[in-house]
Parts: sequence; structure tokens; C-alpha cells
Amino acid sequence: MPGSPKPQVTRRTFLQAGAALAALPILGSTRSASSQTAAKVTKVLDFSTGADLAKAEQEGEVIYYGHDGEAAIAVLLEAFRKDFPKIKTSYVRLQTGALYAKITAERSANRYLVDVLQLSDISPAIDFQKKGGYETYLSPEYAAYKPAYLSSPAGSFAWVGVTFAGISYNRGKVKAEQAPKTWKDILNPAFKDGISAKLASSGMQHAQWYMLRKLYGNDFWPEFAKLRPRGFDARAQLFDRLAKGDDRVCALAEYGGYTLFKEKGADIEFVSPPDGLPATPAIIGAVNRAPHPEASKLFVDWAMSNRGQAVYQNQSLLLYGSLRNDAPPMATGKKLADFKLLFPSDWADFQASHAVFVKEWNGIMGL
Amino acid sequence: MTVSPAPETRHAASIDVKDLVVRYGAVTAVRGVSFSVAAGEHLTLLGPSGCGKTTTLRAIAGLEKPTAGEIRIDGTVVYGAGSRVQVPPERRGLSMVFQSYAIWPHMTVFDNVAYGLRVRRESETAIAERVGWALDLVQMGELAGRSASKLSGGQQQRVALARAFVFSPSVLLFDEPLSNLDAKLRAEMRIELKELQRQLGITSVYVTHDLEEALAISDRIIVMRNGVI
Amino acid sequence: MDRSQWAPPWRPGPRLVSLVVGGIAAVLVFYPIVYLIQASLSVGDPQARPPEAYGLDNYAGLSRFAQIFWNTAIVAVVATVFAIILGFAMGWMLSRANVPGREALEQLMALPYYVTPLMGALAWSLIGSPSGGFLNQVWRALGGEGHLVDITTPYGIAWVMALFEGSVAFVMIGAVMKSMDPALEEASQVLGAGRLRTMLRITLPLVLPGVLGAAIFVFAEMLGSFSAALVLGLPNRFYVVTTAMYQLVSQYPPRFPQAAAMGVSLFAVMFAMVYIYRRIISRGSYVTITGKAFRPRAMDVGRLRWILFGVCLVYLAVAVLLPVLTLLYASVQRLATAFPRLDNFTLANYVTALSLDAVRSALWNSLLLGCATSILGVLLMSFLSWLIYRSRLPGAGVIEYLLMFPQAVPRLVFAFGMLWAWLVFPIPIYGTLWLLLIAYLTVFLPLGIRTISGVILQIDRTLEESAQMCGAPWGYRLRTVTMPLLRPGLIAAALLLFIASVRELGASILLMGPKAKVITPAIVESWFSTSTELTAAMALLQTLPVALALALLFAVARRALRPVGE
Repeated sequence: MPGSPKPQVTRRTFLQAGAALAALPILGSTRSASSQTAAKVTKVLDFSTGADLAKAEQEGEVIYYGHDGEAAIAVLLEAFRKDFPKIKTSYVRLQTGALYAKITAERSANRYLVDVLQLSDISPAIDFQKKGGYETYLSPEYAAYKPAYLSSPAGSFAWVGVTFAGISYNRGKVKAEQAPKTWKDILNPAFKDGISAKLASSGMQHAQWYMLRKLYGNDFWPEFAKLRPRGFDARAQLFDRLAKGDDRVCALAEYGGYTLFKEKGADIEFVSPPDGLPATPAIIGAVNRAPHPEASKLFVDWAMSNRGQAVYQNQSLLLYGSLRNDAPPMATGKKLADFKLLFPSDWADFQASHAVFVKEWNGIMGL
Repeated sequence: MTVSPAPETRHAASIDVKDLVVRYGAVTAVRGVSFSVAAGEHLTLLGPSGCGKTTTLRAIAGLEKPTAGEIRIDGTVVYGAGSRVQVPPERRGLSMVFQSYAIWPHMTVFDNVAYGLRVRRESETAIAERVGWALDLVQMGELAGRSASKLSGGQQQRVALARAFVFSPSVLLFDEPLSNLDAKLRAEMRIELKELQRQLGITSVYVTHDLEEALAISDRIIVMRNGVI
Repeated sequence: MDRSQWAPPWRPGPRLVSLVVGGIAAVLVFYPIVYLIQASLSVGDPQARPPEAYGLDNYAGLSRFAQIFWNTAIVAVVATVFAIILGFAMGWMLSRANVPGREALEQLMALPYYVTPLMGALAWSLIGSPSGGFLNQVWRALGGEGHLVDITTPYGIAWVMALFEGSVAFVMIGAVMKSMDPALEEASQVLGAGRLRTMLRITLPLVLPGVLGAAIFVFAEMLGSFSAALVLGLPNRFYVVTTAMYQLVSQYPPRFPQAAAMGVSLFAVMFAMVYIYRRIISRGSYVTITGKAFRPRAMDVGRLRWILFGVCLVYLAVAVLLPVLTLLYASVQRLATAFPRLDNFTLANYVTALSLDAVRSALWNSLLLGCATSILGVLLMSFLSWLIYRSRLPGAGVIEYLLMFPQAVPRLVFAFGMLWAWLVFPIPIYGTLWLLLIAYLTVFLPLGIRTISGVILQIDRTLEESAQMCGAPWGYRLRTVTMPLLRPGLIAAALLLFIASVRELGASILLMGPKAKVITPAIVESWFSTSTELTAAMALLQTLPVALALALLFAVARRALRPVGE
């Protein structure tokens, strides 16, 4: 089958963002992988890259849009700069929803400012792929990942890490007998005005909403709304407040955040509910019409390689779980397989639910 | 003390004011004033405060926009309600001494006086000569380098004078220049002014509320009251 | 040359210039507003640009947000009351009572303005959060129950707003006080009325109109306030219009039309307020900042003066020292708590902060932008001020109205319109510092023009008229007479613009790009996604150099600020 041409990015395509979400074809379509001008694969440091290193260094810069906390992004980019001192880095940090809104607004006005995009929700990633926003690039490092952890067809984006969330509470503020043990416990009226989660712009929150809704029915979250939960942008804020006792319970406690703050000496506890921990991938991809195309490919290769994955797994501000076939255990000594992770079984359904999620979650959060 | 260059022959202009009306919103400051000043004549507009004399003077200068009437300088219309002419003050070739002197504090005495000449792009040597001459005439020659903000009232008065006539205007307008001085200075300045007028020989229009002053310096007096003569 | 016939050569008439200037001003000021209104009327697909269909649905849908409008009103009213009380008390103390060190204190009163409301909000959230706040921790340690202070309530937010954004109230009321003829009070005292009685029966009624005007102006400003509500209100589900707008456009899919409708509503209210304010000001002989200032002999309040002096010091301590010290204290801890523990101290926050893009590039960008705004702004605004107040051109009133227009628009709302508008403008300035520069120059027009025209109006008209009589055309006059006389005032205005540009949040948070990060929004973004301690370190790191730059500027400018001619 002849390779499909690279999709045209036009203004019109972006204008249909909202409607497009509902009309997307199911994942695993019969579209063949688009042909790719075979890139020369070279070995750089200890990983393979399809990017032209010399050209990348000539470009001299990579612009990264990501959802992690500002300090976390700084750590990530610092590690990249250490390996490639000739390439400057700059970034924009916004939670996934806001980030995606920004990039689509920019592109709809013909401003192409981004090299690498990392999101925490697969829905906008799929949307971006449909719009041809991603550069079709088969990173040689993809070979170390199961196809389920790549885009379909492969070449648009990949899962650069996984984060998952349980419940966490402040030991000083929550009596032992009240301590939550299962997901149903976050509906406990005793936690009214003292429980926190993330905002509708968060990918992790979408994942949790979707999974718990599937498990416990559509009435689960309206019950949660009665507790008047507080919404925040990032795990750092959630744990900051939990540690200080401004919130008593955190309903979306990411394991990575818990680990970090426990180290800082916070009096908090992590709960793995027996029904499982909703998880979401962090999705990375090289962006189409990037200002620095070779550098962007290089970055993606680096991030997916053992080098990059080590940063994602071990840096205390990131603490993602790696999905590489040969990934070592996480910094805490546990492996991803040690946790019961909940992923949506039907990604298309998950993606289609995004609009419903945003509406309901905004209502829950008081907007 | 340098020898002052002889004053060149200067052209003195005549002024014709016809049916001048100046209105500010609801208030009519000047209602239908008419008079003429012959070339070289010294006229005074006399009257109590609020009678419209200053307004008339400023209208002649071009600083006020009248509502009706006509003003001619040397026969040329500089303001005409009918012909809709309004020549801006900087183009009328007049000069004025203000009640508050309006000396610029950020310049020296020399620069203050030289201003009008510099606007006219005279050469620096010519400027130096003429400023020297003007300052000598008002007896401020020694203070040419002083900052203008450090002058007494009387001194400012003289600088204002020098500045006004140094570029040989065709008409000199005076807006109550002596009213801010004390009695002794006023008497002195009156004499000096008279002497200056004689030496320069240009037309002048003087505004004051002081009868004595008016009698001392003018050839002719027009008394105004409530906007009319 | 026969000098009496000399006429200056023709220069482009001021009339033409004023037309051009007015045109440019109208475009700059109205372009975003037009887009804002267009966005608010967009029904149908919210992502479509230009809008698919027009309608009033978004306005009808605003009833959903009734709570938010109510919140905004409450916070603005309470903050205004606080600010006016503070401003009046300080104003009276420093202009009427013989408090020792009055002149110095008056200068210091401007300091809270420099401690941006964002830093103030961050510090107060550390101090007054119901659970983790330092004050409350101490309270509980002393045996108290719950919390003593809750800074996240509407009153708490209003308190922070008044403290840091209300200094403008002090300036305005102080000006009103200064222009009151002291003879009026002295007469009352001579007739036997005590001090308190004099103040209540004479001073108060006389300054009341001016105070009322200040209140309305401050209220309008409070409506558009953003920082305090963001830091303190958001975590508590407490939204005001500005923060709600910010949230609405920060999600995917963004709800531009609804945000626009909210913005237009806020703008309408502010517009009405500013209109009322200007009516009050222009009616009668109410003083403006430009009026002649009396230097009244201060009333001797006896021993009370030391108490009042103490009050002023307390105010300064609370408004300036407390936030800085709190942030400093928090920034050196791992987990900020009121009770210092040796194992809790660390410099790691500073190490991390220094590695962040946000600190390095944001700081540099802010300084650059601040300089550009102040220099270009002063040039532009002094020309405009002169045009409006001194040139007696036709249409000067219209131009003034145009340029004061941004005053009625909350800055975040304005930036929203600009975002929408400039995204599609052919010149690729979106995401660059240029866009921020244009935004700043536009939103600061009222501030700059107000300040500079204050200086202009103090210059006696006759100084310019005498230049006219010497034959100087308007350009020459401007250059040789007006500008030099304005210099001290211009330098002060430049400093003001520099500070305003660095502290700006509402306008910049929506318009930043990867290469165009500036300090205040960068601190906010850090606050969203990192710990409080790190944010505190960043905030201090970023503002200290700015403070130093300011101090340097002041030292240099002090020579130039000395009244002309000394």
C-alpha cells in the first residue's frame, strides 16, 4: 500500500478541534504506517538516534512543551544539556489541558514554536496525531518498547513513562480509624472541605475519573462532589498542602509525589486501594514543522533511551515508571509490575469521554 | 564694557483692531472693541481687573482665539472671523513681556535672551553681539552667565524685557509687567521703560490698571471696562 | 534680512499630527476590545475563528457564574473599604499631624507598591493559611483551637489586596489632603474646637468628595485584581471574574466565548465606575493631583505623635518587612514550618531555583522589558500628554478619552483580547517580548499620562507662550522649553513605568511564550507546579536584583530629580 503523504496542517483543521474529538476513528485502524524517508541510524553516546547529530548541534536549541512541574522539567532538560552541551533548551510548562490549548491556538495562527511535546493524557495526543501535529518519526529506540506503548500507527508519539495514583493522607490530621483504605473511602463525608485532587486540565485526573467511573458507576463522582474538593495543577501543590495539613486527604496521590515528600519529612501515608491504581502514560512526541527538527528527533530518542529513562525514573521530581522492556526497578526498588495498575481497555472510548469529563469535573471543582 | 552696536533701523508696525469679540463659553470677555495703533505709537489699555484688557492684548498676540472681529498688523490680517484667518503667535512677528516674566529657569540669562535669535537661526557671533547689546540696555550685562533661576524679581523683569526686544519685533506687547514689583522698583522701571521705548522706537501696547503708570509711559490711553471701551 | 517680516518655515501642522496620533491610539486601544466583544458573541463551535455564529447565549449563560460575580463584588468592596481607611488614616497622619519624620515616611509609603501583590499574597498564604500558616501554627502551639486567621476567606483576600494594591488610595487621598487650605482648619481651632472635632466636622466634609473619588477609582482597580485572588482564592474554590477567566482559557478545550462574556461584563462595570469617577473629579473645584499644594502647618498632637509614628512603622513593617522576611524564612527550609528545626534548613531551594529557566531568562527579560517600557513609554506619553493638555489642538479631548480608556478595562481582560487579536495578526510577534511591550505600553497609558500630565500642568503656561512669542514653532518649543522643564517629572514617571512593568501579572500571564518569560508570571507558574519553599526562593531571587536596579536608578536619578535650576 502506498505511503500516505504527510498530512497538511491548515488553519481549517485546527478550527474543528472540539467537534473532531467526537468523530475520531477507532484506534488500531487499518491505515498502514506512513512511509518515512529512511533516516540514518547512528549511535550517539550509548543510544541510537535517527537524527543527524551534527545538524542538531547546528540548530543549537530544542524547545520543549511539557506538563511536569517546573523544577522537574528543569531537571530533565539539565540532564539533556549535560549530554549535549551544544544544544540549548527552553520550555513552557502548563498542565496538559492548558498546554494543549496553547499549542493548538498557536498552530491555528500559523505559529510553529514547539519542538517536543509531552502530555499526560492520551486524548489530546491522539487528537494531535489526527491533526498531523506530530512529526512521523520512527525512533530507533522504539524497538525496546511493546507496540501497545507506542502510537498507532507507530511514529507519532510514545509512552515515555507511567505515573499512577493512590490515596494519601496526613497522619496528623486523619485519625487512624478514619484512614481511607479503598477508593470508596474518598467519599467519606468526614473529609468534606479537606480533600484535594487535580483540575480538569490534568491527564492523570482524566484517567482516574474514567477508571473509577467504570468500576463504581456514574454516581461515584457526583458523590465526591458533595465533599467540595479542591483542585490543583500539579502534584507538587497537592503534596505541599497535604504535608502542611491544609488538606487532610489527597484523592489523586501520585506515587512519585508521595515518595518525594516523604523524603522531605512530611507526615503522610500512601494507600494502594485493593481495586487498583489508575495510571496514565506520559506521552512524548516530536512536533511537526518544528523550528529545530533534528534536535527534536534527537531529544525524543534520548528520552526513550536507557539514558533518558534513567532520568525519568530516578530523578526525585519525576519518578515515573519506565515501560522499556529492559527497564531496571524504580528508585524506590519497586517495579511497575508490583502495582496493580488500571488502564482503560478501550482507548477510543477513553478519548471520547474527555469532553464529558471536563464538563463534569469543572462542575465538581466549582467552575 | 563693550561698545553697544547702534540699533539698526527697525520696522514698526501699525495695529488695527475691529469689532473684536472674545467669548469663553458663557462669558464674554471682550465685546466689540475697536481701535488702532499707529506705527511707533505707544498705547496703553487701562482698566480694572476683569475688564478684558489682557484678553484683548493676548488676542492681538495670537494666544487667545477670538470669536468675532478682525485684527490687522501692518495691514495684514492676522485674525479675521469672516475670512477665517488665524495666524499663530509665532508667525506674527510680535513680542510680549508677561506679567509673570516667564523666564525659563533651566537656562542662563544669556540663553534666555538669545532664544528668539536662535529660533531665527542667527549665527552665534551675531547672537553674542545682539544679546550683549540688549543686556546692556537693561543693565544686566554682567549677569549674562548666571542661571535664570537665581534672579530677583526686578532682574527677571529686565531679562524678560531684553528677551522681548532683542530680535527686533515690529510690536512689543506688555501685560502688566510691573505689577509684581514693589513700589520703589516700579517707579525705577517706569523710567527705564520709557527710555527703552524711546531708544527702540517700535510700536507698543501696554496693559495696566495703574493710572500713573499709564500716564508715564504712553502716548495714548484707552480706558476699558467690562469688555468695552 | 528684514526681521519684522520673518515668518518661521512651515512644519507639519499639529492638526495632522493629532489625527495620526489619535488614529494609532484608537487602533491600539480598541483592537483588543473589538476582538473581545466578538469572542463573547460567538455561539456555535467555540473553537471556530472567526466565529461561526453570533448570539447572546454566552451572556445568558452567565447566570451560572452568579456566585463568581458576587465574589468579585464582595472582595472588591471590602478591599476598597480597607484601602480607603488605611489611606485616609495614613494620609491624615502624614499631612496633618506633626508625626516625626513625615517626609521620609511619605516616601516609604510607596514601598508596598514595589512589593508586588503577588509576593504579598505568597507571603500571606505562608502566614495565614488556616492549617499550615505560621501564625496559626503558633496559635495552636499556644493552645488555641483551629486557626486564628484564615487568609483564604474573602476578607483575607481583601486584606492582602488592600495592603498591596491600595497604596494608590494613599497617594490620592494624600493629594487631596495637601490641597486643602489649612486656614480652614486653623479657623476651627481658633474658635475653640478640639482636634478630633476639627477633623470630623471640618476636614472630613471638605475632603469627602476627593475621598469618594479615590474610593471609586480604587474600587475599579480592585475589580480587576488578579494576584491575590489567584494565590489565595483558587485553592479554596473561591473564584473572582479574573481568575475564573484565567481558568476557563487554561483548559482543553478552552472556553474562550464564556471567558470573553465574563470579561465584557466586568469591563462594563469598571467602565461605569470610571465614568462616575471622572464626573466627580471634573465637577467643581475638587483637587486633582495637579493642583497647587499647600504645605500646611501640621497640627500639634502632643504625645500622640509618637503613637502615630509607631502606627506608621507598624504599617510599613507589616506591608514590607513581613512578606520579605517570611519568604526568606520559608525559602531556606525543606518543608516550611513556623518552628525552626535544624534539620529542616537547606539551601537546596536556591540551588534548584538558580538552575531554572524561569529565573535566569525571566529576570533578564523583565529588566529588558522594564527598560524598554519606561523609556519608550515616557517618550510616547509625554508627547501625548503635551498633545492633550498643552497644545490646544482640536480633538484633544477625544484623544484623552481614547488614551484613558484602558483604565476601564481589567488588565487580564485586555490581555485576553490582545491574545485573541494578535494571534491572527500577520506580524509574527505572538509569543515574543514585542507583544508584551505593546501590551504594557497600551495598558499603562492611563498611568503614564496621568503622572506626566500632572507634571505638565504644573508648568506655567506662560513659559511656553513666551517661547511662542519669540517665534518658536511647536516642535522647537517642545524640545527646548517643555522637555527640559519636565525632566524631573519624566524621570519619576520612567521609574514608575519600570516598576509597573516588572510587577505586572494580569497582562503578561496570558501573553508569555517560551522565549518571552517575565518574572511575575514565572513566579506564578512556579507556584502552580512546585513547592512553596522553592517558589519563595524563586520570588526572592527574582525580585532582589530588580530592587537593586531600582535603588541604583533612584540614586542616579536623585541628582536629576532635584528641582530644575538648583
